[in-house]
Amino acid sequence: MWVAIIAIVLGGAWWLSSSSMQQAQAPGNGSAAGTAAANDNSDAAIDQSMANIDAQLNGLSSDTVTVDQSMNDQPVQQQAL
Amino acid sequence: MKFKLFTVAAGMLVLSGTVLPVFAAETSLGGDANVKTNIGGVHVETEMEATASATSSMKGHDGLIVRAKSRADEEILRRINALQKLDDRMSGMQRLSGDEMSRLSDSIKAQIQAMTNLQAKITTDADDNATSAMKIDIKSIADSYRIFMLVMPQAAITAAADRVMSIASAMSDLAAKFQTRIATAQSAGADVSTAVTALADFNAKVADANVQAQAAISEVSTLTPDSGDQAKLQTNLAALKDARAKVVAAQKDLNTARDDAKAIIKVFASAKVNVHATTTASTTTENDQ
Repeated sequence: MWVAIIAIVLGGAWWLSSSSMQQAQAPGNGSAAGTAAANDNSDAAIDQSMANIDAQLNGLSSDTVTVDQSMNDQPVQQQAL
Repeated sequence: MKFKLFTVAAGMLVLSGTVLPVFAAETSLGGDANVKTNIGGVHVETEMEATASATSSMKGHDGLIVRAKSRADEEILRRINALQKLDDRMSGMQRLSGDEMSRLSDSIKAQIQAMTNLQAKITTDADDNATSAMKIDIKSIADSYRIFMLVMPQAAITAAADRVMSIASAMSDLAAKFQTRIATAQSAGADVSTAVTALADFNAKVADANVQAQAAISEVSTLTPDSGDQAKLQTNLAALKDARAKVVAAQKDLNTARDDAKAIIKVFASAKVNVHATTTASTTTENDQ
């Protein structure tokens, strides 16, 4: 009888601890995380924003090179028959 | 008299080659001629080869077919690769509407398909030794160049403008962070006047970049192939050049805004030291009293 009660109590304790651990490990809501990042005015957050912008500006430089190439295109001369 | 007639005829030949290089490629007269011209900054070179001697033409017939196919393949593959690269870039666009993106992507894919079909046809022409059919197909490479010369810059300008708008959006988010930090520093008694001025310029530059990008997209989105209409070709080229200038202006705006951002961050770093120094000094003074 006592053995059964102890087993039930231990089982319940294990279930409670494992479910609380799962809650702690669950990933945060995407939009909530996004909002937190958007509202983060720390130096680290600003540095991260600047790094992202720099990467995008590099991409824009590459885009403008493509624009210039497309406007100065040279066709391959064709062989007349 | 004969000399005068010859001079007029030669003049007309040169003129037709200069004004209409695409059609000059169709012309195959006796003698060698190379025609170089420039249409609105787009350099086009057309080569007309000799077919003066029927004997020599027959002698090199197979070689001519091989060379013609090789050059056609080279040009077609060059266009397919460029179009494919741009189509891949289209999928990374973030700010353009779904309809606009589909319209551009469909236009690029249609060109890729047309080029692929043309290449298959030219391969068949070469295998069948069908010179007349091959001549027509090679002419269509020159004809379709006008479409390529519109679709490529049109898509490239749109992709660049889309990137400008993405950066402007990221910078607007950054401006909100700056605004909050400036208010906090001001409350702490720091002098942030330099940051306030820089942020005002930052916001103005970001806004202008957005305006320029939107205008560039609007300007190129309605352009259609000229179908040989010289006036329309010039109108399209002018619109593409103007849209390109707008993208460059937007890029300049964003680079200036980035410099403003660096100046603002510098003020924050300096204000942090100053606020700390002021707080320490006032605390020490109070304790002395």
